[in-house]
Amino acid sequence: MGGSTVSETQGEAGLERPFNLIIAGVGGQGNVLAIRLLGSALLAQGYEVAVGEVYGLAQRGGSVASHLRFWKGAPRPPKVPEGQLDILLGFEPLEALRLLTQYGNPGTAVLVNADPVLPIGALLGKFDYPDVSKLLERMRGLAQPVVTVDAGSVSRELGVPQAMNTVMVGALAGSELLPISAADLEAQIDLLMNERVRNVNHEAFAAGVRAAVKAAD
Amino acid sequence: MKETTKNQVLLMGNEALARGILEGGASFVAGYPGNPSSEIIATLLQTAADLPVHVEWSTNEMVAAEAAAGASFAGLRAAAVMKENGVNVCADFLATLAVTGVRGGYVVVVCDDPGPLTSSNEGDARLLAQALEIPIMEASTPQEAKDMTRWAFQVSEERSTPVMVRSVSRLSHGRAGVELGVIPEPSRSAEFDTEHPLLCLPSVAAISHPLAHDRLRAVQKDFEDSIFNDYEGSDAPELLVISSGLSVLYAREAVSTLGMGDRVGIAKIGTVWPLPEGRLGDVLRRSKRILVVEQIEPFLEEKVRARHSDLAGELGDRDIYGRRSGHIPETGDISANTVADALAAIMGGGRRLNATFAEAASEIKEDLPLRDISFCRGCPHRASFWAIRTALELDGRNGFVAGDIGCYGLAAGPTGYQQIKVVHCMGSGIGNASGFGVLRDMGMEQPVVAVAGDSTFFASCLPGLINARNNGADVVFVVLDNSVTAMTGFQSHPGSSFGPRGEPQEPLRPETVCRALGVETSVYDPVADVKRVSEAVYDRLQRPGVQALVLRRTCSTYEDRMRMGSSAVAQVDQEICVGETCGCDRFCTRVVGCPGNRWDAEKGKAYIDPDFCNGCGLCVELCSWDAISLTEGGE
Repeated sequence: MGGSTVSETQGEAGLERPFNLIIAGVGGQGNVLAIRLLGSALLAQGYEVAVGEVYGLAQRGGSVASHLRFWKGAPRPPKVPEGQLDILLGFEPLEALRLLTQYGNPGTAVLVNADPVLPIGALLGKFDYPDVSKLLERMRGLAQPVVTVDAGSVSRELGVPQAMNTVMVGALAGSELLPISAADLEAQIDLLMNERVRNVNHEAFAAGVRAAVKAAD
Repeated sequence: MKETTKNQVLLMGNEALARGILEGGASFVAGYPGNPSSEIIATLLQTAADLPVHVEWSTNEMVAAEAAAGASFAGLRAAAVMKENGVNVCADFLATLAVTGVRGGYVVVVCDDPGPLTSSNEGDARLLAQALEIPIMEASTPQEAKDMTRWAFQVSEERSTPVMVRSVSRLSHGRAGVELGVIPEPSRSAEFDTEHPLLCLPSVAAISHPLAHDRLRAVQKDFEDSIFNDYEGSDAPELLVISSGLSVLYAREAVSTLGMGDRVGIAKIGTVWPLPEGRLGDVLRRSKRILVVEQIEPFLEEKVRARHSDLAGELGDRDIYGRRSGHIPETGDISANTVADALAAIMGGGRRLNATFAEAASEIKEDLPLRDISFCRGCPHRASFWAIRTALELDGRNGFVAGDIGCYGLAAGPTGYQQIKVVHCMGSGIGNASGFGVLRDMGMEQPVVAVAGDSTFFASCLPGLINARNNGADVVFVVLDNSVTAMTGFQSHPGSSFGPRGEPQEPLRPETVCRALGVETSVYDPVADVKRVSEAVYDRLQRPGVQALVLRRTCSTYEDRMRMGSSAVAQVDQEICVGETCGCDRFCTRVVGCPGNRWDAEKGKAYIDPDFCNGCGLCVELCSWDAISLTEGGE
């Protein structure tokens, strides 16, 4: 896929301006684990890292966002400044669009799971959830590229719907937007996840990588 | 804390504060849950399980501060951990502790919530620290949070004064690389020196107070040379930013974004109060123009103005910018962009904004449906507030609910049928109700229901409840007992059947306490007994005096986490459901507000989405046609 990579935007010499990534989703989708996988992998490769773990009310169905920034140099705050987002990893299309409008710019690269999670208002019939293709169209009107990943269906096919987050992290690795390799990220699965879920997360990660490669073709 | 890399670990600010407490040699740590501070004690309960350190969830912050002081008086190092509101709670004790001083190093770790992001208000602990005469420092990064906390124990012990360390939400909940230090071996045994009592009595305090001021001056001297104060920039910049805590990073980012590194210097002040005045004077000499960047109140800004006034003869005019000049918004959280806009307004230039993007984005944003927060699937509060609403409607005197903070505060919104009309702080509902409940001779005809969660009940409700009883207030007091401190992450409390590390514990029941106080108390399951609860609330509304109800059912999200809920789900028999002709106005799918109850538009009947049903059975109880039943395993 296209989009700006670290070396294009900031030159090989350094990373004085932090590279900014946000995961947009809903409480319960596994933002925290995903952002820690990414943060730990980047730290292990020698970058300075700041993570804003969860902004929002996770437990009660609200919108949540996790921020990740990496750079070389003096400490930076964990919150991504509005307008300076490099990569948006959308776990849910409505939340991805919401965060893109707040933090994005025309060069923001978007990877989004197209599976909606209905807000309580839509569940109760107070309003209809917007058409997903319309949401994607609006994202494309704001920023390029916007790549959809069927992380929801991929994780369900694997029999572990809750590994959607790892599929998305795999897709990010497969998109080659980050300066670290898929292997660097996979190593963190072994470090951060307990034995019970490790194998299935490796599978989810690999499926995510394949999905991204396919989307780029 | 296991993602080890080179020498660094990716730690959350709160984990770093916890590590700092251990590296500082604390033997005793106490706290009460409250975001954004909750993970500090939670981390210690895990990481210090095998260390000779006592870690506890105390009944409230006052008790935490007093208990930790007990350990300090016995010569041990001790910490009390809380959110900013907790300092309000224990202010009475801390104010006197500052007068007597401490023995073993004593540190209060306090997490402020600028914004606020998850709190009832955005108090600034620095103002409290000054009012309490307790030194306070503020960290910028997780690394500094750890190192500063460790040093705070040393300062406290050397100067015999309590010391506070301030964090803010985005530091506490942010992660960054941290190099770990050594946790010292325990070397002290606890003993209280009875030859030297610690007494805050009028005659003694008059002598002790000036001694406390001497201690503050000694700390101020320590602060002059602290490594937590720093300067980056040219010797005489066009503009000087004075900043502390996370704001320093926002300032650095703004300067870098605007490319103003050679024009703007940043003076970082980690030792916030008592402010090292010599150091501040040196800083003020650098530039004619000064911007103060800090979080919540203009605390440093006032100090900078005062110091400038001291030195006015030598320094001459200074332009001081910040909140009072309107360059930084007066309230709310700030960001790098806030600082960049202030810099641009003072220095000229500005952030490069993509106007086309901004315009298109703001138009789209307006249009996006909001994701309201609501009670979780199967939440017992939904049933409790349904019952209360039904009773108050039937009563017909325009009664209302006085509540406080906790998950059930959401009952001020649609998910709890807008029942709560008064929310302030922990335990304020029953206190307010003890006032409302005695106004009958002044014309008050509305009945009042007070609600409190179970953890809140033990933390903050007992004096209010006793007051209501003693003054003959007419109040129906409802304890919403979901058996955990749910809002802040499922911590145990005295009424839980598990202890802080998950071990079994004999619960102290709210009804035992209420009855011992002479308050008649009934206990129900709010879901299974929902109709009886309505009747009971209605019945108690007609009686004089204080009447208590304990509505007990375990938090459904906690049950989900512990995988201890039932496997049953509800199912609508669409043969029985009469749809629109029911006369219930789609009661189950539209009115009750459970995310699992849906409307099948094609068939014009109700149905249940099994993914959003935890089988609580509320809709089964409420359907007037008995069209809904529970089935095992979602058959």
